[in-house]
Amino acid sequence: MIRLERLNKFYQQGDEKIHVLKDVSLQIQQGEFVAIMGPSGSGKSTLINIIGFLDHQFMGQYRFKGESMIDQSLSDYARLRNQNVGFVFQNFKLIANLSVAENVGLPLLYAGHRRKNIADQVNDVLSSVNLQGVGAKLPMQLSGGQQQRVAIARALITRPSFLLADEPTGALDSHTSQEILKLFIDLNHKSRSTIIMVTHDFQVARLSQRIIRILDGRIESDRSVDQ
Amino acid sequence: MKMTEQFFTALRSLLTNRRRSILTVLGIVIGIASVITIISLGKGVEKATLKNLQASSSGKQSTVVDYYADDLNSTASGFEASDLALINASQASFGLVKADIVSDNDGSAESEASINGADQNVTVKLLKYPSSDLEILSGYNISKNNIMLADPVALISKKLATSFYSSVNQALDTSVTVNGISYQVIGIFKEDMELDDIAISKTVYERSNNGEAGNKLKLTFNRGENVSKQTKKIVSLLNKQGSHHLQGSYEHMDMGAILKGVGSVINGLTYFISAIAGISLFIAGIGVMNMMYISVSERTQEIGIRLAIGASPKSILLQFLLEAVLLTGMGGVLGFGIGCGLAWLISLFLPFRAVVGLESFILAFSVSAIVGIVFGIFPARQAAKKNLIDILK
Repeated sequence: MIRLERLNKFYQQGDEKIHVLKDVSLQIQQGEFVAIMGPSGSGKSTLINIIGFLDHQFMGQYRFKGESMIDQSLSDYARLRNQNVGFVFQNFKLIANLSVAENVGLPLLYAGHRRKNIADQVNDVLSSVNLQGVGAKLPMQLSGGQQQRVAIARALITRPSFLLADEPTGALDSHTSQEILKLFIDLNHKSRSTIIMVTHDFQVARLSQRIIRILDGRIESDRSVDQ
Repeated sequence: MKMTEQFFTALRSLLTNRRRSILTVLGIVIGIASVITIISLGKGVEKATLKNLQASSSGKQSTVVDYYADDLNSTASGFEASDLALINASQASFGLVKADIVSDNDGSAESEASINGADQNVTVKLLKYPSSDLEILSGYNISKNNIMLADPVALISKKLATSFYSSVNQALDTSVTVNGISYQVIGIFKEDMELDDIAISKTVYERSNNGEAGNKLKLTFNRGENVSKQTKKIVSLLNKQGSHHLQGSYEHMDMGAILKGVGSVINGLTYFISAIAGISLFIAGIGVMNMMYISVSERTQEIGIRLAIGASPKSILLQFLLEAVLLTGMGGVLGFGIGCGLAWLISLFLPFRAVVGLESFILAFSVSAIVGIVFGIFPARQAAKKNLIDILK
């Protein structure tokens, strides 16, 4: 589904040109649960920004479902994000003054649905992450784990091609982290959801099926996890 | 995102920040309210003036030609039947419906009167309604019935009564002849400031005048006629061939010109106040811009989240632009309401009513919406141009 070929990325920082990604080639299939590991500054965030259609400035080839991502316009990228990616961030990134249900339903609004027609979908996806009856609350009224589950519900609502989770447990205690990871594993097993998760914690990464290690902008290793 | 959803999204954001929204929009409200107030009052004046000057309840327009004798003491009337004949001969070419000689319609006339067998020049007060201003010393005042029935009854002043009769009471129930009609004296009044000698019903007096003599000529024109031009023609005809053109002059006060003058003063005033309001709207617009910039930078995270989950830069731009336009638009509507109320309140103390038209509403709404677009576009563009990757770091 995702195919990167000799991906290179440069940052301009002052007079210096920084080479962040160096000839990264990588394939991810439908239904995989992939962990991307690496120390900070290794380029893993840059990599998932490109995979998640957040960053359109790169060299090399990115094919998504066979289609080249080069020459896509900014609004094409917005549509790709809306339809194909479910983002889950470390610090949840919920809109504070919108209710839980509004946060979850927002991607559908950008997909062109009407507010009044999406209530059922929002309730379904909220119960799929075990969050019944909190739709009217504001994100701040929920615990961290609950907020992250709201974010996951928001990521799932458009039935995206893959989930992109950037340190999804980074702001949670170990017990809550386990719950969230269990949710990911369930999603991967039951709904065959493709999940790409960035983490620096091996205890988290080893719950996935495949670990890609990145160091200094290169793929250091790419191997399956022995269950 | 559908337009209606964009609209609700923008409205929600404004309501979340209610106090700030209200404070920001205050300038717009004041600016629009002052423009609407002055425009409504201006229109009220215009309408009232039109009504007063043209007396055209039937749609016909009328003008008045005055005769001024060169000899100020002359009581001779400037218009006679021959003048009517002169004008009526070419009635059609003037677009005239009719020409009437009327007595001085400012409520009094100079006339010859015969009292107790002696002739005397007197000032006659012509009553359209019973007058409560007159202080009756003896007898009765002229009643409403007297006027309605056109009774030939008169009140005479105490001065006149005492100079022709030995006592005030002796003058009661005598008769006085004015312009050939004999009136019964039913009351004696105390002289007022206007120094009238006799008060009689205007209707009766005009009848006695028989449309044949007077110092005023009332011209009634067809609708749509260029009244002031035609009146001028008639005036110049009268000054050449009128019955008294050698003893005095015929003149016409052009009410159309006066109306135009009044109108242009009001217009000037409206422009002046609009200019001031324009400045206040400009400043208010800058306030809106400032608030939108603050809002954009405060809501960077929100913008990032929206972009990440699939908002296009265009829909972010639209959201913030809509917020600005909604804000100013609501300010405009509120200002319109306040302006109407204020104009109504002010016109309670004025002799006319303010007039609020649909175009005032459209003006208020469109001006405020334009302010929103002009001052909202730059912050909205900044919001749409935010770098997604920087926000989400």
